[in-house]
Amino acid sequence: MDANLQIKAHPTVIGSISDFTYKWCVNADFSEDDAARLTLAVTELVTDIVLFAFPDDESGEFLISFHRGLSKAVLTVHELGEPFDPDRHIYNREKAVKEANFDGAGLELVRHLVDDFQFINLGRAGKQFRIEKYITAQPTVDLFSDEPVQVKSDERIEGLYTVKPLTLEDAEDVSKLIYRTYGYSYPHDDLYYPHRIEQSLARKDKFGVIVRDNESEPVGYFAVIRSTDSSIGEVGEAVVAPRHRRRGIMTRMLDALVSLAKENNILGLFGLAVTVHDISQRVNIKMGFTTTALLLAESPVIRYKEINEHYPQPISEIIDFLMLQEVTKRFIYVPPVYQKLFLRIYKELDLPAVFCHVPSLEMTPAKSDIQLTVSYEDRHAVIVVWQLGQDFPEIISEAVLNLQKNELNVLYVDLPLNDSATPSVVTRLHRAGFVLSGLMPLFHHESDYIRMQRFVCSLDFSQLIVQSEIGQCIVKVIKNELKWNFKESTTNSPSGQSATSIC
Amino acid sequence: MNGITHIVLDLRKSKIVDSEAVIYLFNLSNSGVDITLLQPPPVYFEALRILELDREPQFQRINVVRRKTAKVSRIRTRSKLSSIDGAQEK
Repeated sequence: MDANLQIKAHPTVIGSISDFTYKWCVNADFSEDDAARLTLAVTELVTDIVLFAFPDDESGEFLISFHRGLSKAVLTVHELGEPFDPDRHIYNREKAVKEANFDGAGLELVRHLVDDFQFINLGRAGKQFRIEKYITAQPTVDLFSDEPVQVKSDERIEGLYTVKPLTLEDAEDVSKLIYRTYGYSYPHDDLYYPHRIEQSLARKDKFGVIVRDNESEPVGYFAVIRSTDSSIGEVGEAVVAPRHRRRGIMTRMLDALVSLAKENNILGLFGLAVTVHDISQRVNIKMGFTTTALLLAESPVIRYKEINEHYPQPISEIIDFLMLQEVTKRFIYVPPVYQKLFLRIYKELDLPAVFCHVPSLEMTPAKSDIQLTVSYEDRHAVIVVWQLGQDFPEIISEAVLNLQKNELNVLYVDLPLNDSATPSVVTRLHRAGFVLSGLMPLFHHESDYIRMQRFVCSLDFSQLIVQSEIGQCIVKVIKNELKWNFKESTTNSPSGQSATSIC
Repeated sequence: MNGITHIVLDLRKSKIVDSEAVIYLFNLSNSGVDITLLQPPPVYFEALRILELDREPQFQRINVVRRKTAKVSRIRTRSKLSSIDGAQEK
C-alpha cells in the first residue's frame, strides 16, 4: 500500500500526481469525497512546488511518500527548492476579492481539507510538508470475504478460559473489553472502533488472540502489529479485564502470540512496556524478552484508569525484544563507549554479530538520506538514517531547533550499526545533547540500529520503573550521560569510562 | 477571451477543482464572461466555502449544472443552456 514517488518539478506532472493520489486514496479505503479532499490537498502542495520552488532550476525534483496506517493515511512531500515561510503566505479573503490576490489560497485549502498539516523546515535538507487524514469509510463487503482466518483449537487456562486467535467477528468484543477496562482512557483510539479493528485484521496489518471466560465474555486481548519496514512485529494493545487479572492470562496470551508470530514468519517481536508500572515488563521477562532500549518521554502523560491516575510526567517506555527465527550474522560498528553494553544485549538476544573496529572515518557522501517521522499525538519525532552524509550535523541542529517550536518532547535518531561512520556521528550527537536510548534490533530493513535521543521536557528518573538488569544498566548509562551534559564538559566523550564500567 | 461571451466548462469527469481553477474562474467572471459549470465535483463547493468565496458575486453568477439535475446530452446551444439554468439547484 505504501508508495514513494520521485518526481520532476514540471507542470505536466500535476495531473498525473492527482490521478495517482485519487486512486491510491480509494484503494486505501477512503470514501470518494475524502479521496477528493486529500487529492486536492496534495495537488495544491504539488502545484506550489512546481510553480514556485524551483524558479531557476528546471532539473528540480521532489519526493512524495504515501503511507497507510491502521486508521489514517500519512502523506509527506519533501523538496529541496528555495526557502519558503508559510507564515508569510496567509490567505486573506479581502485581498482575494478586492485585489485578486490569492496568495496562500492553496495552503488554506490544505489546512481545511486534512486532519493534520505540518510544515517542517529541515534547513539544508530541504522542506517537508506532512499531511494526515483519518480513514472514516465503512469497510466494504469484499474486504471481509478474504480467505478464512485459521482458527486453532481451543486452549484452556485452568478450565476457566479459552484462548483463540482473533477473528473479524471478535472486533466488537475487543472494543467493549477496552471500554470496560479503561473507560475512554486507552491511548489507541482505533480500538474503540470495531470496524477499524476489522479492517486492520483483514489487511493483515496485525493479528492477535482473545481470551473468553466460560460465559464467552471477552476478558483478554493481545495483538501483534506488523512493522511496515522490517519483518518484525510489535506486541501491543494488551488488555486483561480487572476482575480476571493475576491469573496468568497475560502470560498465556503472549505465549499464544509468539506461536502465531512464528507461523507468520515474523523474525522477532518487540514490546513497548511503559515504565509507569512493571506488569508488562515482568511478563516480557518471563517470556524471554531482552530489554534493548529505553525511550524517554515517548508519549504524553496517559492516565490509565486505576493504574497511574496521578503520574506527573510524560511516559517513558522500555523496548523488550524476542528473537523468533535465526538470522544471518551481522557486522556492526558500535561506538566504543557502548560496546560492553551492546555485547551483553546481543548475547542475551542470541543475535549473532561481529563487532568491527574502525578508525574514525569521515562521512563521505555530501547528502544524508533520512526519513523523518513526526508523531504529534505522541509528541515525538524519529529520524531514521538510511545513509549518513556530511550534512547530517546540520539536519540534526535544525531538527533540535524545531523540537520545541513544534511542541515535541523528544527526538529519536536511529543510526545504522552496519555503517562505519556511526560511531563518530554518535560522538557528535553527544555534543548536541543526545544520550543513548539503546539497540533497535532488526528495526529497519531487517538491520540493527542504535537509537540516540534528545528530550526537551523535564523528567524525574525516580519515577521510572525498570525491571530487567539490562534495562537498569541502560538507565544508569543515560543518567551518567545526562550528568556529563549538565556539566558541559569540554572533553570529546561524555561517558566513555563510566558507561563501560557501569555495564 | 476576446469576443467570447459564454463559456461552458465540462467538469463531469473532474474529481477536484483546485485553487488555480478557482482563481481562473474568478478572473473570468470578473471579465464579464458568462460561465457554466457542468457537474463540478462536490469538493469545488467545499473549496469555495473554505476560501469564503461562495457568496461573492463572481461565483454567485456562475451557472452551475449540478450532478443530480443535469441532462447533459441535451446541452448543445445557448438557449438549451438557459433552460437548464432555470432548473438548477442554487
